[in-house]
Amino acid sequence: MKTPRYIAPALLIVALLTGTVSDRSQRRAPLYLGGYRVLAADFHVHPGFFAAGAVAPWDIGFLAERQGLDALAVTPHNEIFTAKIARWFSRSTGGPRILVGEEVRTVVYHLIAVGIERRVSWNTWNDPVAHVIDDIHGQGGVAIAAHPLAEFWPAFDERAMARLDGSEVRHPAVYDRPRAAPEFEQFYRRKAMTAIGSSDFHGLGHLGMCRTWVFVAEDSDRGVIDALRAGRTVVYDDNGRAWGDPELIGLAAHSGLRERGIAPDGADALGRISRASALLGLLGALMFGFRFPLSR
Amino acid sequence: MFSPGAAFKALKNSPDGRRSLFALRRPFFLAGFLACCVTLIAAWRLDVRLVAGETVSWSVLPLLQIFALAGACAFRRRSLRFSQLIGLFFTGFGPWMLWLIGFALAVSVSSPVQTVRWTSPPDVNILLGTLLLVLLWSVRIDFQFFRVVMERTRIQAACDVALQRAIGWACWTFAFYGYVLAPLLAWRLAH
Repeated sequence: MKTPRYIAPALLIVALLTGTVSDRSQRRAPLYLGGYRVLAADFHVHPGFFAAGAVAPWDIGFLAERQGLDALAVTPHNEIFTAKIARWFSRSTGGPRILVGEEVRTVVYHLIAVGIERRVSWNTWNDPVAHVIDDIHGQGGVAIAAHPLAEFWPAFDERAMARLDGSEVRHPAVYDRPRAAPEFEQFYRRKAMTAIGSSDFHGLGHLGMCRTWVFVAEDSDRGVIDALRAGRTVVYDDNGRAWGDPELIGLAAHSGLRERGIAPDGADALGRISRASALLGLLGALMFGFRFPLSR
Repeated sequence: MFSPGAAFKALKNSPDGRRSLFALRRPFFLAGFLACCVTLIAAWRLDVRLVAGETVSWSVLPLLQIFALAGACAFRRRSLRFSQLIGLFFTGFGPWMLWLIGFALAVSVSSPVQTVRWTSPPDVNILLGTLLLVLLWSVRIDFQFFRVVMERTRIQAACDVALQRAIGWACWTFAFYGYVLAPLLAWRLAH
């Protein structure tokens, strides 16, 4: 039984080596269109710790870079300190731009706040959405309706809609609920709003699998917020259909922008070797134990 | 994993199970194991930096389990030191680890879109069904831990398992989902 105890760590070392070597940043040369810098962004990302995410806040930036994202909003549920941890780590390591956000999650609506510095004040059962959006705007942030399925519509009354900056028109819910895509679109058509594509990443699927192309005048936090407020975004679905500013959609049409957004799927040879060796190594470690060659 | 009573009896009397290092090794192994699985699921490969970062992050789970075990073993007569109990208790995480390997395998052979579908019915029901089986299996192992290692009667052992689960899961639910549950609870109370 001793040999399998050495095989498990050997396989895990192979998995780590091949996985690390093949895990490269997907950041590309900056793209400029119509005088704007175009950023790949994901504005709905949940980190671990108190936010129902699987990936730790200090790893979010690292993972985002591997998915070719230039900017993201880390949006824990009803708090912001894990988003600040994520921003600090990404800044310290030269990672992608991280904006502090929050998913204000209540029973009757979900709302994304991007570009805030303190927790958004809300009272779960009697604070109207309009008050929450006022607080977000007071902090210099933008408010985005998160996955606006029909059950959340009643909370977005006229006052809320007048204040709302954007709406998620693409979200992974479109893949598992047939009614999601038409409902998102119907909500988006209620007024002129910024089109947003977000992954609502908790750990499954790919960070940035639904993403927003943001056209910024300056590559800074303020530049991203200004672009969101001005509606300078483009979002694509899997068939190439686009939402957002019609002028920018036209500009992007022949730029290969949509193709730039296809996230790597880990199908390269080294990635496959890493996955297979890791699974076998973990199974071996569980079944036969774990012993390094130098241990007694 | 398959005959926990006999395994705990053997481990309790083995010199390995009586070493202090045994107590540290198992929880650390669980944290590293979780980190590898999370990295595989999120990045589809093992990367040294992600595994290191996730090991730190997921160390919270073994720590909470140790805290819950302390709660369940407090004021109980026992023949082993608490450090030895930790080591023996953590040998019972096999079913959860096996499930995680299966889940990571399923992710690695599926597309990101397919994995997203697992979060809603009917796929989520299959996932929850497998988790229920694992839960029952792990309860059986923990029951044997309290019967054999802690030398408790059947009823006492069942109560200890329930107490350990209640403490551990309450802490974990708060750590993972606390800021979501708080407004939901407030809303329920208000209505």
